[in-house]
Amino acid sequence: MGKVIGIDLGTTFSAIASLDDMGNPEVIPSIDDNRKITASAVYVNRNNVIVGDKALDHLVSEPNRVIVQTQTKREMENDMVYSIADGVWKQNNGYETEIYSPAQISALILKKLKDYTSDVKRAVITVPAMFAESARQATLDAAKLADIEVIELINEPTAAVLHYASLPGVEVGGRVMIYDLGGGTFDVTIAEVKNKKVDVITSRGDKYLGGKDFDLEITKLMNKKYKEKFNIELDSKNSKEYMKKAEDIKKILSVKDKASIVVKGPKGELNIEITKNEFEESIQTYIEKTKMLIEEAMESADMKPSRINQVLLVGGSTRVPAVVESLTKLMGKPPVKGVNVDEAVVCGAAIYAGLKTEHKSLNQKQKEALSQVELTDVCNFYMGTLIQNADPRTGRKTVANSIIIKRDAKLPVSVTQRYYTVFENQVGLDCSVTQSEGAEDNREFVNVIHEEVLSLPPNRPAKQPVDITYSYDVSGKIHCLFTDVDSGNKHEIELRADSTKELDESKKVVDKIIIE
Amino acid sequence: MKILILILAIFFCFNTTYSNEKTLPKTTYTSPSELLSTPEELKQLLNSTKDSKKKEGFNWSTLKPFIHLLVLAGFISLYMSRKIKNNSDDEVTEKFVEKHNTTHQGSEGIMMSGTLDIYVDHHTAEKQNTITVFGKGTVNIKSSKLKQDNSIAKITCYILDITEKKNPINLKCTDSNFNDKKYLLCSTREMEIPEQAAYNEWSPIVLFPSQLVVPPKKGKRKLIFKIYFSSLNAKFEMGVYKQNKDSEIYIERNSEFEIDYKEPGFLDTKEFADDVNKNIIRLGMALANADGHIKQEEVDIIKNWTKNQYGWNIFNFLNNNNSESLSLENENEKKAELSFLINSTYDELQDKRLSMSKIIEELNEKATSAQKYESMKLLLEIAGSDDKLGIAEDTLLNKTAKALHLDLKHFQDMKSLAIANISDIEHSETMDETVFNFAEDMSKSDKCKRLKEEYSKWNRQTNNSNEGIRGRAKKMVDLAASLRKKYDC
Repeated sequence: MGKVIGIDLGTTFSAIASLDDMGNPEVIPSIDDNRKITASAVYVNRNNVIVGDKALDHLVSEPNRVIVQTQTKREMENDMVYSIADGVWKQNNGYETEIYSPAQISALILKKLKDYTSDVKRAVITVPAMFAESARQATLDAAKLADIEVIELINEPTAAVLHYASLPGVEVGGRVMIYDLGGGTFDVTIAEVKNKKVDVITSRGDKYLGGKDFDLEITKLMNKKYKEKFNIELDSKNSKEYMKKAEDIKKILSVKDKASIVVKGPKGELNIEITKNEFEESIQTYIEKTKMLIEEAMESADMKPSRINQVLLVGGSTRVPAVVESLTKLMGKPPVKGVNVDEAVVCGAAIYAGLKTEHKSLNQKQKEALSQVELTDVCNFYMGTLIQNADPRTGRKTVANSIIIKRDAKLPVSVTQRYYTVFENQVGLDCSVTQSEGAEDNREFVNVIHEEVLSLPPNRPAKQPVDITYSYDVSGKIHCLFTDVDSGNKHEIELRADSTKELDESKKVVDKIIIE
Repeated sequence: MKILILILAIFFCFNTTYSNEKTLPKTTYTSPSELLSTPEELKQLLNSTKDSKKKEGFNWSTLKPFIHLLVLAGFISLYMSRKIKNNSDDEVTEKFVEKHNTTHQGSEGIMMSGTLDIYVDHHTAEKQNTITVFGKGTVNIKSSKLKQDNSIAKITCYILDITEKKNPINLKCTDSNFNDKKYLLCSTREMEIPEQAAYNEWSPIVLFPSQLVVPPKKGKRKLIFKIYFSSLNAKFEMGVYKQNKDSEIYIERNSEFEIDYKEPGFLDTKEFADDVNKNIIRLGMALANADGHIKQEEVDIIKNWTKNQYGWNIFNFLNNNNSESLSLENENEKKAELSFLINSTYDELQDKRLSMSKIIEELNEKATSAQKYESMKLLLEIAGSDDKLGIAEDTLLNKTAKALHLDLKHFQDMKSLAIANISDIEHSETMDETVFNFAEDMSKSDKCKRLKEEYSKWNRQTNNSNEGIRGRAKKMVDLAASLRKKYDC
């Protein structure tokens, strides 16, 4: 019988936790340095890789061979590969041999985490709330490559609130807002918490906003100061090294008013000093983005800051004082303190893994600890299909997106809508499944995540009814059924039933690699 | 004696009402929020709204033992209150019903099958503006044909413009959900009609999306809505029932409706088509010249657009009148005329003689909103043809949309779609604001609100599978956030 495992596959740090015998989540420390969080970085050297903090030691000497998860996670939904030769993410041109997909890089991190404890077969893995279907699919692929059976994926802020709600000694209740600012992504979630029952209302997010963007702003300040002194910019080839130094400065500026660091540039070394004010001014645009997303989430939940009882912090970047100050000002109340913001997500994942594990696998104490825990999540996207429609303003026929499941619908949800064929003797129906964050009707603003054709009987007049049913279960699996009412012809689509890609070749590459 | 008859009459009415509630058409209730935006769904809405009313209805059977007493008490109370209070709610309702029935009930060809009365009015259904035919009364059809059709009847409605009584004109439509094979505006659906079926309250029978009800001419027009309850095999030709011994019309009702149509009607559109097209071409040339020089690809877009306009005329198609299509000789003449127009507009632009206000004025007078949106679509295509959007182009786009009285929010959405596919947007402090279409009179809070909307809109596209759109979205997100910072929102 395997352990009850939760994994936070984070952009800056990753972590693995299990439920202890008392049913409490316990973060499993690294076998390398006994730390509970592991840097989400991979140093690739042919068939040997180093995962974790030690990988970052190679940033200066071999920057192209160090892949950090921040960018990997942002590329999860895209068909991109990391080129060791160029040190960048790019389209696979088919010629290079030393390339790695986001799923492969993620799999290496998962494999490393798996080694921290024995008997890891099944796990709940966390993903950002706004991860699109393709990115979730890539996460499942990564788990498959790492020989981990995914019980379910859970949204990071949802996992965090589950942990907060289950914490002894921390009073969490009423309407809560989870402000999750990690290394590479930002999510804000509003939920209703009653005892250990968590009811998610809505989530918003920006997957291009995180602590790494703050680091980037610091490197710009470093560059500006270096240029002021030597009239030449810092070498962009060393950007990864500068990012590492910037991260150090950020940590210092989170507790002090200024920080100094020696930077090597084309004209030699320079001791650069950056003040807290300079840093805070440089990240205002990012803070403004988080404010807009909070406002959007509150509008969606039909709430005002005064109606939010508590604000919960998640993610290492919430240690930046300017972030907390802005949040306190916007919400009119300080966030809840006393929780390790780096561990909340992985602990929540472990609790959720316990919830989703067969009861017979749990001991009595674990059952008792989980007995009152309940979770209701929502659909974070609009799910729809493409139809032919007349533009109401111009009357022109156009292919438009028609929404079937609305965003924020409570899971599980099942919706049936009736459509009609357009042409006489129409013998095929395009069964397309679309996903979008907004209620888009324009074809270009939605992602088509599945497309197939349903055959229809010939020689029928137009306007034949077709029923489309979308069902979205609690685990995020989507079942789509297209039925021609007259003939009974059906086309069924099961999205994310499991990792569907043919991963054999990819797995051979990962399996060959020895992880240090 | 009279009182006794009234009591019996009311008692009978109560029972009829009850039985009719039970016999209203049965349909599966669909939550209005799940309905599609397609006009076809309006038809479904008809059934669902009626059915939802039924679900919420009071269970009369619980009152059955007391019904006689209640009826008597009700009658006495009604009789007394009428004497005391002349302007009671009932009277207001009666007057309303009377007004509609006398004003809107047609006088021709009414077949007295049941007591169904109809009237037509504007109505909002599911946030969509419609022109709706309402009905009230019994639909008492006693026909063997209805039985043969398993109690299912066909409801058909046509609309004619009868402003000139001697020359009634059928309204037309290209939307396949609301037209017949001759492209006449028409609504058809099937409905179960059980015995003694009735609309106990004024209920929508037929809905037409308002934008589809286009009269032939601009201004005050008189329309007549002709509604038929018929056997399923009834056929109609040019909006008139085609007599056939196998089919049957059960009920026919007409209702007149006056409309003050602010836009050119479909005959106006045909008449003004050339003027409108020429003005759009001139507008396109002006936009192409906005950055100081007209490029060949911009002219090509205008030429292609022109070709499409003159190559296929929608209303000629509807009229099935090929004689109005251009002959080869006329086509060459038209080509020469349009080439001359493009060249002369170019000269006017070079000499700064082109009057934009005159173009806009004429478009506002002669173009439909559909044509205006089409013209904006053309302008956006021209603006993005070189994969760049300059400040002069953007400013002209914004000003034109405003001058044509378009819905600026919708225009901004159209522009977003164009911007999403443009890789290079000129960057300057002014441009940052014009790209979000900030008007001069906008307050700081309006600007902050607009920026938040734009941020949300573009942030949603950072997940787009199209790399170009994704890249543009990231830039727009940063731009919106930096402007929010600038305005200290």
